[in-house]
Amino acid sequence: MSDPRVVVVEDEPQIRRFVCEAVRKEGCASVEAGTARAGLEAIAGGGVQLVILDLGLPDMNGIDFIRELRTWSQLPILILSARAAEQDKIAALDAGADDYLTKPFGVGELLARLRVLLRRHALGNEATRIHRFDDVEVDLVSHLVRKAGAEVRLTQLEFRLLAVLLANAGKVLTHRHLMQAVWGAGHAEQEHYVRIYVGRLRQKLERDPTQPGHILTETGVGYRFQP
Amino acid sequence: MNPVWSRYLLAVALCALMALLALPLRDWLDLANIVMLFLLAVFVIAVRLGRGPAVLAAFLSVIAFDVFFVHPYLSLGVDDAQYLVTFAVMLAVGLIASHQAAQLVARTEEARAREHAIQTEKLRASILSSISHDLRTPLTSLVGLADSLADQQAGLPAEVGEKAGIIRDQAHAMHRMVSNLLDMARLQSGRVAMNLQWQPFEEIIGSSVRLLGDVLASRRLEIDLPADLPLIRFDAVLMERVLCNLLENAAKYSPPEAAIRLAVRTLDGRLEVSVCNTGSTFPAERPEQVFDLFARGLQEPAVAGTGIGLAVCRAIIAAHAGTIVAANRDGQACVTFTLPLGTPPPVEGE
Repeated sequence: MSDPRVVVVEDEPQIRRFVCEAVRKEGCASVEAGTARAGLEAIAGGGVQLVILDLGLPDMNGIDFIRELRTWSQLPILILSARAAEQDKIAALDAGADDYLTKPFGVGELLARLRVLLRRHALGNEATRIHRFDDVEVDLVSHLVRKAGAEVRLTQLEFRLLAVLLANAGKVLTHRHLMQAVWGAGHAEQEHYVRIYVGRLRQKLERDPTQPGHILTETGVGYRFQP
Repeated sequence: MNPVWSRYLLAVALCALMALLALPLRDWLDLANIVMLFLLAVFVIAVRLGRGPAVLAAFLSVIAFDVFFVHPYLSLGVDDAQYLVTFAVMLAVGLIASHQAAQLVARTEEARAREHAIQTEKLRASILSSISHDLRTPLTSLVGLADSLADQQAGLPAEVGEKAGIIRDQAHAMHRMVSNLLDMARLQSGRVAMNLQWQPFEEIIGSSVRLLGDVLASRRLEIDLPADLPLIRFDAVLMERVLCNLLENAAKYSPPEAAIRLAVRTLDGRLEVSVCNTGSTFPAERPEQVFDLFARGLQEPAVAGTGIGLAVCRAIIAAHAGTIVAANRDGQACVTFTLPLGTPPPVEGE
C-alpha cells in the first residue's frame, strides 16, 4: 500500500511548509493547496486519506468548504483556526469537521491529532468491540467496564455517553451533539447533564479526574476522547 | 452671535414676516385661514429651530393675530369674546405641534447617533478580529518552525535544539500576552457576549493546566478540590483565561522548586478559588495595586507582563459579579477570587 496522502489547504506559505514537513515525517505524502479551489481539486484527484484545512482561506469561507466537501466525501477533516471564537469552531464541527487545532499549535500536537484521525479512517466504518486506554477496558457489547482488572459499575446513561465518546475517538463532539446522541432530541436546554456525566465518567475512569488524560474538555465547545 | 439666541431671533423674525405677509390679506381671507398661516409658521420653526423658539413663536403668533387681525386693531382687547376661544386653541395647537415636531427631530437625531455608534462598534470588532488573525498567523509559523527545527537537530549542535525550544516557548508566551490584550480590549469595549453556562468548576482546571503545557510541566501543582462542588454559572473560555493567567503568574514569579497551590471551596453562598505560590510575595503595602498596573499605565511593572494578566482577571471576574483580591498569606503570594453560587438547575437521577 502506498503512503497515506494528506491534503494541506492553507494559504499562509510558512504554516503550510511546517505542516507539510510534519506530515511527511509521519510517513505520509503531503499535497499542498494554497486555495480552497486547489484543495477541492486535489481531494477529488483521489487517494487522499485526510484533509487539513485552514478556516480563513482567501477564496472561500471555510465552513462552505466543509459543507461542499461533505456532499461527496466523508474524509476526516482537521481544522486549523486562527480564530478564538468558539462559535466558529462549533459551526465548523456542525458542518462536518472532525477535530480542530487553534493557532498557534505545536508540531507534537498536530501529529497526535493526525495519527488518531488516520487510524480512525483506516478502520473505516468497522465497529470495534473492545476499547482500551490506560488500564481501562470497555466491552461495548456486554457493557462490561474494567479498570485495573476490577469491574467498574456505570449507569446506563454513563455507559451510553462513554460508548459515543469511544466510537468517535479523536473527534470533537459538541455539547449539543452529545446531548442528542445520549439523551435524545428535546433536551437542548439541559446541556449541564453532559457536563455532570462527563465528570462522573472521569471520576470512575481517569487516573487523575482533575487533570484528565483521555476524556478531554474542549473549552466552550465540547469533549474529545483521546485514545 | 450665540447660536441659541440667533434661533430665538430667527423665530421672532419669522413671526413678524408672517404677520407682514398676512396683513394685506386680512380683508380677503377668513380669520380662520390667517390662524392657519400662523400655525404653519410655528410648525416650521419647531422643525427647523427646536422647541424653545417654537414655544416663543406660538405666543407671538397669538399676540400678533390679536393685535393686527382681530377688531379692534392695534390693541390687545377684543370686541367679540369668542375670539378668546380662538386664541386658546391657537396657542394650544401651536404648543402641541411644536412639542411633537421637536420630539420627532430629537428622535431622528437619536436614531442617527445610534446608527453611528453601531457602525463604530462594528468597525472596532472587525479591527480586533483582524488584528487577532494577523498576530496569530506569524506566531503560528514561529511555533511550528521552531518545533520542526528542534526535531531535526541531528547533525546540528545540541544547543540549536535548545534555542529552538526557547523560541517556541517565547512565541507561546507572546501569544498568551496577545490574547490577554485582545480580551482586555473586548472587555473594555463592553462588547463581550458572555456564554454563561452551569458547569462543574473542576472542568476548567484540567483544561487550563493542559493549555499551559510546558509552563507547568516541571512544577509541583497541589490541587485542593472538594468532591461535592455544586455547578457554577460562568463563561468557560473567560474563566479558563483567569485560571491560566493566575497559574502562569504563580509559575513565573516563584523559583522552579516552589509549589503552586490551587484551592477551591464554598463559603457564604460563594465559590472561593485561590491560587498561591511560595517563594515570592506581592508588594507589602497595597497588594491590590497589582491589578491596576495596566489600567493606570503609570508604574513600570517590575517583571514584564504582570499588569495585563491580572487586570484581565479582574475585568472577567467583575463581569461575573465576583470579587478578586491579592494578599500575602503565611509567606505565600495568593490571589483569591469568588463567584456567586446561585441556584443550579435540577439534575434528575436515572
